[in-house]
Amino acid sequence: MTSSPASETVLDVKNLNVYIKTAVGPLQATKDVSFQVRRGETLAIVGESGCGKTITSLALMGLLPKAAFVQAESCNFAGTELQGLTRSQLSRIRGKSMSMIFQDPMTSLNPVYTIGDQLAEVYVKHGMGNKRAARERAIMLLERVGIKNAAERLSYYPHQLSGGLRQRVVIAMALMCGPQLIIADEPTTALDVTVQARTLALLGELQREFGLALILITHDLGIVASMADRVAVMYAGCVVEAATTEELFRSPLHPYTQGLMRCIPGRHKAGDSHLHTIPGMVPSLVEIRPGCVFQNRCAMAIERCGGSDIELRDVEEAHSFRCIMPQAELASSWLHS
Amino acid sequence: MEQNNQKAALQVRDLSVTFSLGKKLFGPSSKLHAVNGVSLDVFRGEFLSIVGESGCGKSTFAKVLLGLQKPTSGAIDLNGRPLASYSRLEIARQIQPVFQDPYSSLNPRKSVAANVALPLIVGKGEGSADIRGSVQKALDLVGLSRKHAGAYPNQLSGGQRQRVAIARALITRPGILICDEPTSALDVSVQAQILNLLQNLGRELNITCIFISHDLSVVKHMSKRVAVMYLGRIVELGAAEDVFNRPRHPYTKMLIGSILPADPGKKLSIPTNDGGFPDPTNPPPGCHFSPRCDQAMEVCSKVKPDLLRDEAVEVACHLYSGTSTQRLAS
Repeated sequence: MTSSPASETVLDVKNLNVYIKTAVGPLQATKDVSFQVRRGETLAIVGESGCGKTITSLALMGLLPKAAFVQAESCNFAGTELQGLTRSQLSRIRGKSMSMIFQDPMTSLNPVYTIGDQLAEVYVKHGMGNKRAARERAIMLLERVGIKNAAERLSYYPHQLSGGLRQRVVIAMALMCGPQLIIADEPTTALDVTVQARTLALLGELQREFGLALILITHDLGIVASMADRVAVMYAGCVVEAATTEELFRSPLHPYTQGLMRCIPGRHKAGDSHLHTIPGMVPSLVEIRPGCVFQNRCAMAIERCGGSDIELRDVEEAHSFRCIMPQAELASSWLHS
Repeated sequence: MEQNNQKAALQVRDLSVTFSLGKKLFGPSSKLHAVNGVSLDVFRGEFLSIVGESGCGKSTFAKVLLGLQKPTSGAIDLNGRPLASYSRLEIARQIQPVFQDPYSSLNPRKSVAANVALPLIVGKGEGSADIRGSVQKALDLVGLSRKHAGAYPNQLSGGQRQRVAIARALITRPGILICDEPTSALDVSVQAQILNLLQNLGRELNITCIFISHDLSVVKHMSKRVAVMYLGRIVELGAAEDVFNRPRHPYTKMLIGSILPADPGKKLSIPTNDGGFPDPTNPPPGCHFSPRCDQAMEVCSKVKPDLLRDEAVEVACHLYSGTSTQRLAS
């Protein structure tokens, strides 16, 4: 990897639209999603199921199902435009300079190969070196992710390891070719709480050590608060708010972000035993109406919300949101909740 | 404690469940102690949570209470009568489950109304004369409208499906509801709706609720009393307030330390000296937690600590078995 300044943008996505072909015409799964990740930075993409956070990451990795197609203004990864790359060109990047950690380490490892074979495969396939070099790197990385007796464990099959150890193997695998960007999709959802804390701490350490750009996809605001530098909140395929983590937790503006934060147990006022809820449910892609995507669940919605599409507004440097209400009104609604 | 003069709905004494894992060709047969000497009183109308990580035996414990798993040893009394003396149907009339995943716990080929009615049709319990009316009442309780009755599970969202599962559990008018991770398959905003619903139902219908979860922030919010389990044993038991504000057992401390607060000012605290979850078929001797515990003493790896009272809570740890504690008469 070439040395580069800390503020270098690794990934720059502008207006990413993912469509899924259906019998009734294409459905829009994400709408004008834009974000950037810099070297050494963690961007969290937060949202509930169906908000488009996973499909965004699959689009970046070129792993979308056949029925889906992408339209974007630009998807620039470390100076390379990802759009228009052929399959073989993309597969040279994928797994090498851009790798992914999936949610469930039980299914993301192949049960019939040893972990040594699986770790070496990435390395050899990408032409980083021969099998012996791959083995050495695998041992080094397994030790780095905290697996004892790494040399011996190379001959283990995935089922011989616990869930936490398996996820460590997956993390080591993502690091095999020295990537610039890692996309971690709910990396700890399948793990126990104590294991989760350790896995996240490890991920943070590795990120600093290797200067990685990290995209962390999660629904857990606790993980966001402890890991991320910046956050993009997604709802029904749109980024509804983006800000630095501190700013977002101090003064969330979009009613959805505010609602999400009020739902967390333990955040409500003392003596009030009821949790705040957001009425209704996430709309399915078929039901999305013109205007604001959140209008039918929003307590502040007015008629004008159903008008034209809502632009992302910048309030401060690195804080933007997608709502027509005045900023002051939104801010005071948060303070008085 | 205030509950002491209340009547216990369930009395569990020294309950153990052991699974035999079969014999290896030349090796000894191994045994898995899923639940290992658990004693617990569940009081009428209370909201009791059982917390622990996967493999701690919390789901096996729930299965025993539901009559789906025979205990290897120990006794369970339901309303003062041994659970074993009840028939399968009698148990189902009084104890009903709500499972984790509403996508797999509902029959996809039956309508919502048919799913909800089934326990009543099979159990012929109270209200089976007017099945239609009972179904409607149950659906009303969980906040589902008349139009949902004819729908099929695949037409509903995860939150609505979990409401159907709760309605199905309520239709036999049980005294005890056992919720095994009822919200871990749901989104945050929907989770809050279901938690509120469970809390309201518990209060309005005076249902005893045993809530099994690994999510400590949910447990802290929901329950009056908490039991922390580790590798088949209860390691700490007490009022939620006491357990969360002043955890005693090092494992409870570790669990609480692993909660990720939604507050960017607070940094992640990482458990130290952690060898990971031990092999449950070959648990460490003495206190099962001792290899992971940074306060472990010599005695910890030799002698199993008993669950003893320490001020407001009961804790199974040698750190607290000194002079200030008195042995619980059980």
